[in-house]
Amino acid sequence: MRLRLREAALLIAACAGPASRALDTDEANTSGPFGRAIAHARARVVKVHGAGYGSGVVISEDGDILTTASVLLEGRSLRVVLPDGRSLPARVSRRDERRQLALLKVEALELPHFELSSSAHLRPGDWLIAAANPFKVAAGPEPVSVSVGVLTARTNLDARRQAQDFPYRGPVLLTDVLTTAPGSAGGALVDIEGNLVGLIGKRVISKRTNTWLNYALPVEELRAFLAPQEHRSDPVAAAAVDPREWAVTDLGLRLLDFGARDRPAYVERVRAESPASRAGIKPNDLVMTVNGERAGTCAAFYAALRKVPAGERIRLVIKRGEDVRPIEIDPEPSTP
Amino acid sequence: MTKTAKPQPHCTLSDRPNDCGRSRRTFHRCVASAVVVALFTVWATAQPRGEDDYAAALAIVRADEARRVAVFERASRAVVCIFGDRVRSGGGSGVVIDEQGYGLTNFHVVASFLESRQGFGGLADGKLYPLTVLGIDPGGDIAMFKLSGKPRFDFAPLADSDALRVGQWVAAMGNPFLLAEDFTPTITLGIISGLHRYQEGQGATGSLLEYADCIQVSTSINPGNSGGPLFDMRGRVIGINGRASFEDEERGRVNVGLGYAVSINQVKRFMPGLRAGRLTEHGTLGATVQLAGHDLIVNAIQALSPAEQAGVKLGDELCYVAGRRVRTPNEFNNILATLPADWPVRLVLRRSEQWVALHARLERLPVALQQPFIPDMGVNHAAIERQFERFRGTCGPAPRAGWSMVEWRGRLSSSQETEEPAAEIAVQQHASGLIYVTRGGTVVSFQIGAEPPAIGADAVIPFWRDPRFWYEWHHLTAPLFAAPELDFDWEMLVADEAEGRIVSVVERRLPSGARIRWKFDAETDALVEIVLGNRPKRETAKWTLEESRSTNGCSCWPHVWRRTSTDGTVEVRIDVIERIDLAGQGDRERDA
Repeated sequence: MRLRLREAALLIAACAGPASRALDTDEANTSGPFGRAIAHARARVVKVHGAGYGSGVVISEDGDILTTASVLLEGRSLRVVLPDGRSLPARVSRRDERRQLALLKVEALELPHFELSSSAHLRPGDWLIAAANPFKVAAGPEPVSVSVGVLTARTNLDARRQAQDFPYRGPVLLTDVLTTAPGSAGGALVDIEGNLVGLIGKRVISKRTNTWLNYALPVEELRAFLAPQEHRSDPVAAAAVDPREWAVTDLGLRLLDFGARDRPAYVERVRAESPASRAGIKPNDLVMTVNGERAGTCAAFYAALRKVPAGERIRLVIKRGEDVRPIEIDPEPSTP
Repeated sequence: MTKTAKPQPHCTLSDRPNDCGRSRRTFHRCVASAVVVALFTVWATAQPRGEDDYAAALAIVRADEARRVAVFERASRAVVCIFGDRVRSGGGSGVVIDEQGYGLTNFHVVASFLESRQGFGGLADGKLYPLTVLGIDPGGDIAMFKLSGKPRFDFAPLADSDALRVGQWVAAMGNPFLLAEDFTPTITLGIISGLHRYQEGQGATGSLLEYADCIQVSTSINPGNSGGPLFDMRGRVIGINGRASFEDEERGRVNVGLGYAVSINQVKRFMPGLRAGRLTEHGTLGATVQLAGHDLIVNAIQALSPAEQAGVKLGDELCYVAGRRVRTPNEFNNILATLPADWPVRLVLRRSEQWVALHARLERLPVALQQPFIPDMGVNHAAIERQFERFRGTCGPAPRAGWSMVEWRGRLSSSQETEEPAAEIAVQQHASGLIYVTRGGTVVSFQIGAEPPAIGADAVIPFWRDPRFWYEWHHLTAPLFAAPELDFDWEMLVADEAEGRIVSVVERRLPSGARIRWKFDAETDALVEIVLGNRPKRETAKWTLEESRSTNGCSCWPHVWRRTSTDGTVEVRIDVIERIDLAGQGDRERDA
């Protein structure tokens, strides 16, 4: 009963907003139903400046910052502006190409930070507050921008960036908060109490509707990214991974997968410094076998890859021009 | 900063404020929250009990929604769809701010029809009204207009935008994409995303359409919203929407969640000048600052600039500007760019471990317009008439009472007397605008608008012995009680600050070259002071009034007049002892 009374009060608080007379009398010392969450979030969201600009969230008191993996991190000078106005050099300490996440590190102590707990309590219709620095409106020590909306749905992402498929195809929180302005990616999505529930993702367009998606990676995915070697040691997690992404993530190659049936397994791209590039695979190579198994089509290639135990060497036979040659790929050494 | 809340049972809200009833299941999952602490007052007054919690909460939410709908309905009647005179394709939005039809919009909305200054304003009643552009503020992207065509317009009151908080609900109204064929405004709801934002200006110096210290909102702001009001949830105007961040190349000019409004407190400082049909300009200090470590250091000062004249020195550490703490060059620009030319600014700085407070008057920052803006004298004089009229409105009903006692005390360094006994006189005003001062049944005073009368020795009471004060008092007070005939010696100036208040300033140039400036509180229309000067910015004497209302039930006149000058201070006090019915008496006295 007591709990229900509280919830009623909170409902009134958030719904009534500043129009309520009782709130007006308190105008000077309260800041409305979202005030606490906004203050909490703004003290934990940073501005990221590199080859471009973006946002990030502080997740440890000694300077671990989560953001999205993007070209902005490749800038010659990567800097993070903390909520207190300090501008510190940052380095990328870990990346996840599949989730398009990156972990940054700055030298700082005793930072207010988010706890990575859970987003499981959220249901569609629940309030969400976004805190980020779209269009780098907030300069220097100025607090980041906030906006509110609700959780509209949970789904698995199926999206593209321009013509490219977006590698992350896992669960996301969808919202009506507009999160697709440039610079918002990496910002925080918090619940009405200020708990981090998601990280605003990179700007993508839904492949189903061709519209911009306002979404965030749920905090569970952030934790999975931070957990050491999660997808290698956890067979369940590995099985959940889309094999196409598996290929991209761990081998660093990508097939020319344009959607036709029985499409041949031509390599479209090879990421620099990846196992595939170290093994000498080049764009336009046609994969013929994987560990001795025929893999001449994209579907067969994915199916064959799925059978390879995590971390094991993979033997391919490829055709380059008229040349047929064997190639061995050592999957990426696991990040400590 | 507090530590992050641990994962705990969550209290979540099921939906937006206007349809909380939809998701009962979500509601029942709610368990706890600390957010409520500050809001217990709301809850206590309508504490839901028993199984009726939900219904009771819902009733409050619905009542609140009904209130919001009513507020928006009323507010939307003050919103204007603006169209130029010829080209109906363009346009924007505006808001009416008083019942005479004065309204605010963006400069860039009216810029296309500045030549004729004539346009149309569509209101929510579905009708178009003739619109005249009055004054403009190109630097701050604001313009004032006046609608005509009906005796009384619905209007929206102005709020104090310094009291805003990030996260509070705000609503924008206007005519985005020119959707409203019946001129009813489109309403969009959002929150304040950021305060004290800076958005660069345009033009060679960046001083055109500069949004300094502006309000950033998540409320949808689209093309066509320009010039429309940003409302708080009580229907008060807190800003003028004029700008948004768009991605022109990728998505075109549509809202992506970042809109900007000029704060209404900035606009208030320009409103008297705008109403007077002037081109208002912004001010500059003529100095720049840079960050040296954590200190904001003055690194350049222009010769003869306000900063130099005020005594600012290179290397000073700037701490406060106009009462606000400045920590970054951005904050410095943010504050200064919201202030008009000639505005008085107090600077507090540190110089060799000492606090130094300096006063400066900002210099004008010229704006380069494509075509010169010639102020309309008719508009200016209408603003003067309106100002005196509204002052008289603050005085209650037209005075038909008599005052039978004038007590004065004063000190004049040049005069022989310091104290005089109270003298019995009567001050009477006739409805025709005549003022009589009588003593013992003899008229000792004069008719409004005339030169001071020759004063017979017998009739003179001690204070009035010096004809200079007669002359002064006459010219100072006459326009307050009866509308003066305006000629080119009369002018409404741009706003100024006096006694910490924004004042509108009416100036009269006397044949002698002296100037009288009446300063009225821009918000309440009360008289703040009257200043005499022999040159544009020099003061020789200042009269201030203290209002002592409702003595003997008469609230007609301010009662204590204090003259301050280099000669000393003189105080004239008019106490009302009794009200005399003057019916039929005025004519007799004039005959006498």
